[in-house]
Parts: sequence; C-alpha cells; structure tokens
Amino acid sequence: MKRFVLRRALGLVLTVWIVVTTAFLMMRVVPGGPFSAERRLPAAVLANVEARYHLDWPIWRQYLQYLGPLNLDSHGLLGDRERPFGGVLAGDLGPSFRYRDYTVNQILGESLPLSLALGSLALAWAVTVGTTLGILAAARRGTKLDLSLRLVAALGIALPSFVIAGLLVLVFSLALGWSPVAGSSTFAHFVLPSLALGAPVAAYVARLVRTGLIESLSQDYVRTAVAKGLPYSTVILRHAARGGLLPAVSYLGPAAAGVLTGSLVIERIFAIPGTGSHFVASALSRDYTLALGVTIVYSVLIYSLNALVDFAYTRLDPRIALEEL
Amino acid sequence: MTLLQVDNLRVRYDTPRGPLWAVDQLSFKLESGEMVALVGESGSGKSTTALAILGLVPYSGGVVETGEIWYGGRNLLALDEREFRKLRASEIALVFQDASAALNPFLTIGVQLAEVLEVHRGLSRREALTESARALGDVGIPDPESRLHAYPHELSGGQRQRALIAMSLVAKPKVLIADEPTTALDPAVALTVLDLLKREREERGAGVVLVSHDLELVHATANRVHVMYAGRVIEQADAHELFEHPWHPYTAALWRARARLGGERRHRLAAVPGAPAELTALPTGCAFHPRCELATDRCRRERPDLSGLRRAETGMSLSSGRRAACFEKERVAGAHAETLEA
Repeated sequence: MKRFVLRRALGLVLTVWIVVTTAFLMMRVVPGGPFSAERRLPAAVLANVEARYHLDWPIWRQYLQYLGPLNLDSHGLLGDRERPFGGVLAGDLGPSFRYRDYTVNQILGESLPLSLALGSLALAWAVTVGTTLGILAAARRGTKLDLSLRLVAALGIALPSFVIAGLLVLVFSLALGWSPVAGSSTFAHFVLPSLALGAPVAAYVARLVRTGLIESLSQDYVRTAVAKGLPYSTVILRHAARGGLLPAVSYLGPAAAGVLTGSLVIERIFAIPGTGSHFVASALSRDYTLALGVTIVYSVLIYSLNALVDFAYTRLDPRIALEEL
Repeated sequence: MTLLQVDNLRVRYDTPRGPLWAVDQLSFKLESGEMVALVGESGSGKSTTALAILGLVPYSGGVVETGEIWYGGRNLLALDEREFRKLRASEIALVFQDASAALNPFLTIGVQLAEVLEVHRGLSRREALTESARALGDVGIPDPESRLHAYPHELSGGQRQRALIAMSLVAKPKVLIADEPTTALDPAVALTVLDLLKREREERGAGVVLVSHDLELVHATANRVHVMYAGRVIEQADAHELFEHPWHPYTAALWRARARLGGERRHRLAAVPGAPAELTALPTGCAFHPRCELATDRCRRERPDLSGLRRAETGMSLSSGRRAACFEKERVAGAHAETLEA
C-alpha cells in the first residue's frame, strides 16, 4: 500500500511536469499572444505590457520563472530577493493574462468548487443509475425491458448534452416550474445541470455494465453458482457482478475527470460560473497562465482518478496485487 | 433403492444450421451406492445429460423436449425453477471438471462453500464456515480453517480440485454428477478424487453418475456403463462385461482406441475410424454406419433399437438389462467369442 502510494505520487509529479512542459511550449508555438487583439496596441504600450508579464524574456527563462521556485525577476534570485518563491512548484499558478487583477489561483478557487460539486452530483447519480440499469438489462437480456433500456442508453449517448439540457429546462423549469432555470445559488440550481451532465455517463456505464455482465455470466464459475442452487439474484450480484463491473470501472477514471472539471456547454446553458468555460476561453484568448492552470488541474485529476481505478481493481479482483501496479 | 431414474430424455438445441438432438431416447437408472458411467466421444450427449439432471439445459440454451427424470418420487422436469433450485447441490450436485474455471476467482473458498449451506441449510455465515472447514478437511486439504480465507488462485491445482469437490459434497447430496472429474488432473490427484467419490458411495449410499471418455477409469470404477453415440445410448451393460465382450462395434472400437497407461510405446494409438457424427446432419439408419466395418444395407436404412441378445447365438450367459442397438451384434459378440476361444 505504502509502496503503491509512493510510486503513484512520484508518477503524478513526473506526469504533471511533462504535461506542463509540453503545454507551455505548445502555447507559445501557436501564433498570437494574450495581447494581440483586433485593435492593435501601440508598440510602446505593447512592449510595456509584455515586459510586465516577462513575455520579452527568452522562452527558457519564462519557463523557469513559471515553474519556480526560483524567482528570476528583479524581486527574486536575480534582484532584491524580496520574493524568493513563486511559480507552479510553490502552488502559485501566476496572474491571469486576461482577467486583470485576478490570479489563476483565485479564478480556479472560485470556479472549481462549483464544477466539482456539479460533477460529483452528476457522477453519483450516473454511476448508481447506470450500474443498476446495466445489471437489470443483463439479468433480463433479450426481454422488452432490456431492449428499451438499450434504446434509452443509445439515446443518452447520441443526444448532445445541450439538447438534453434544453429538454430538461423546457419540461421541469418552464412547463412544470419545479426547478430554477439557471444560476448556482442553491442546491436546486444544480439538479437539472447534473442530470444533463451525467446522462451520457449513465448511458455509457449502463452499456458497459450490461456487456461486461453478460460476458461474465457466460463464465464457468457462474454456471457453478447456478448449479449450486443459489437464487438468481445471488448469482448475478455476488458471482457475476464483480467481473462484469471491471470494464465500467476503468471507463470511469477518465470519465470522472472530464465530468468533475465541468462542461462548457452545461455551464453556459445554466449560467454556472464553473471551470469548464475556462478550458475553452483561456485557450482561445491565449491566456497562457490560466490555460496552463486548468491543464494542470485536469492532469492531476486524471492521474489521481486512474490511480484510484487501479486501487479499485485490486479491491474487486483479488488476483491483482497492489504491489505489482 | 433407485435414487434417480431418467426416462426417454430428449434434448434439442436450435443452432444456425438447424435443430439438433444432443440427447435422444435416453433412459437409465441410478441405484443407491452405485456408479453409472456415461461414455462416448465428445458431442455424444453425455455432458448434456449431466446438465439435464440438474435442470441446467435451459441455462445452456437448449430445450428438454420429452422425458422424465424421477428423483424422490418427483419428476424433476415438471418442477418449477424455484423448487429445482432447492435440490441443486443439496440433493443433486455437479462435480465440475476444471476447478480453475469452475471456482469463482473473486470470492474466497470459504464464501463459496459456505453459501451452499447458507442457502440450503439456512445456516448462519459463521456456522456455515465451520462446517465448510470440516468439508475441506474431509477432502484432505491441510489446515482447512486458514484455507477458508484463500482465493482460488492462492491454492495449488490439486487443492483447487479438492476444494471444488468439497463444495459439491458440503451439503451431502444423494446424487453426484461427475462430469469428467479427473480429466484435468494429474494421476495422483485423480486417484484421490476417485477415492472421495467412492467414500461418498460407500459411507452415505450416494449415487454417482460419471461422465467420462476415460474408458480405463470407467472400467475400473463404474458398476454399469451406458455408451452413447450421437445422442443415443447404443449399448448398456455391466462395466466388466461391456468391455470384455462388447456387442456394439462402436464400443469395441472405443475400447481398442483407449489410451493405456504403461502400454507399449511401439504401438500407435488406434483411433475409431472416421469422424464423429454431425448432429445436425445425422446419417439415415444407424448413426454409426458410415464408420462401421460391419455395416449392411439394412444398417443404412433402418435405425436399430436397444435390444438383448438371444442365448443360442452366443453361448454366453445373458445378463439382465444388457442391451445394444446394433443389427449385427451377434457378429460382434461372436467375433469376440472366437478370439477368446482361439
């Protein structure tokens, strides 16, 4: 266990470092910068602004400055040493280039909790409902129930989330008046968006669980369980389910990272100021630090969730030893 | 006392190439303390018979068309799934052939044994585990209490097979269906498995249906043998009579083709000539005729039924219940009589 955690911690640091480096370089390779707007700034002003953000430095120095912890500007290592620390390694993601007076830490600190709350809610219902429906469909495969569940799952996957969100708002907010249309001030505001956000996940989980379970129902050891005279529910839940859930579990690692970091579409429709919109906006506006910030958050989440999936695997399947991962 | 009686069993599977009858007109009896063997090549219907006795044919995608399976005064095939479930493992148990596939890799041995007792005997988990440890000890697994917590992959192959057998025996069933119980085992483990089955028969009067293609094993352990070909029994007899004086050319060919332990290596392994019958396209008449040296026009036209042999034609004693489905059985039996005299 200790070894597993240590190895994964090391892997996390290494992975994030590679991601940051690659993302940093690629951002700079893309033409245009944070201050190249349609209305061109006078050359002198532009030079001033770029100097303020050290964009006039050579790229290796910008990179080192961003990474930290050595502060290379006039207040750090090379100057009066008033601020010896800064940069990613110290947990400081720097100032945003577009939202003046805001740091990336502040922006993420405000938006991420909203996205995490929304995402957790979406995941919770999607996993519960998806798993239950998948098991039901597999247990009653070939029946009308199975067929209709598969149809619903196919719809959930095929329909874009803005369509689902739109339908939900039409029915539950406008027609029935049960739910607020948009906003993020109360729990009720999160119900519809989490439904829309979780729908495709629930559909995928249901499909994966169904397929996995049908696969594991054909195993010899499941036939043994039937031959032992166990009730069908025990056969399914105790003997077949474990093996059948494994594919869904591995899908959930990356899927959860995607859901937890928010969705641009859902956040726009329901006017929730989450992280999802920053993903797209920061890349388009060349807000270097914010784009890198969300990338780091995303890669940390992905990596940790995958480690969690591996851990879950060892709990589900005793043949996989934690030490070997 | 008759434990189990199968009457006129017929099982159909619908395949993309049309329906096939994996088992047809099958009848046999199992007495208390007895071992009855079903032998034949793969595809002869012996495993399907085993499934049918446990009511697992629908589970494997087949249909029991006709037949009755009598156990304890009840026709099992008329039971609903709920009632049948109560009999499985508690009255009629299946001993599977491959322990590494038949044991659930995700559950401990203890849970897999205990759940049988929890479901059928209503024991608590704790009581069931104590009982399970005893069952593991009975099959010769050392330190059974600690093995309860082991997962199947943590046991050796031999121990896994023993644990699987312990699982089949834990609820003390009256009828044991052993489907190739020793095929996957090395000879030493195979012997202990057979000893265990023998002990169940002698001590508790359990009946065993042995499904096997290992003729040496059948010859050495079974009381009565039913030789199956293309879903039908083509010969039935006491074990020692059957192979020493086969009546059906197929039985004779099978016996010649058996692998002999310690046999001389110089001899090539004889095989039954030709390929096993295709169940979706059975030949007319006797299903074995394309592979039979003795086949006549009548064999190609008519299907022979199981019948006895008239005493005058062989000079051998007639044992009760001995029958074969062959028009030429006199010639087969006679040929043997000649070789024996010679």
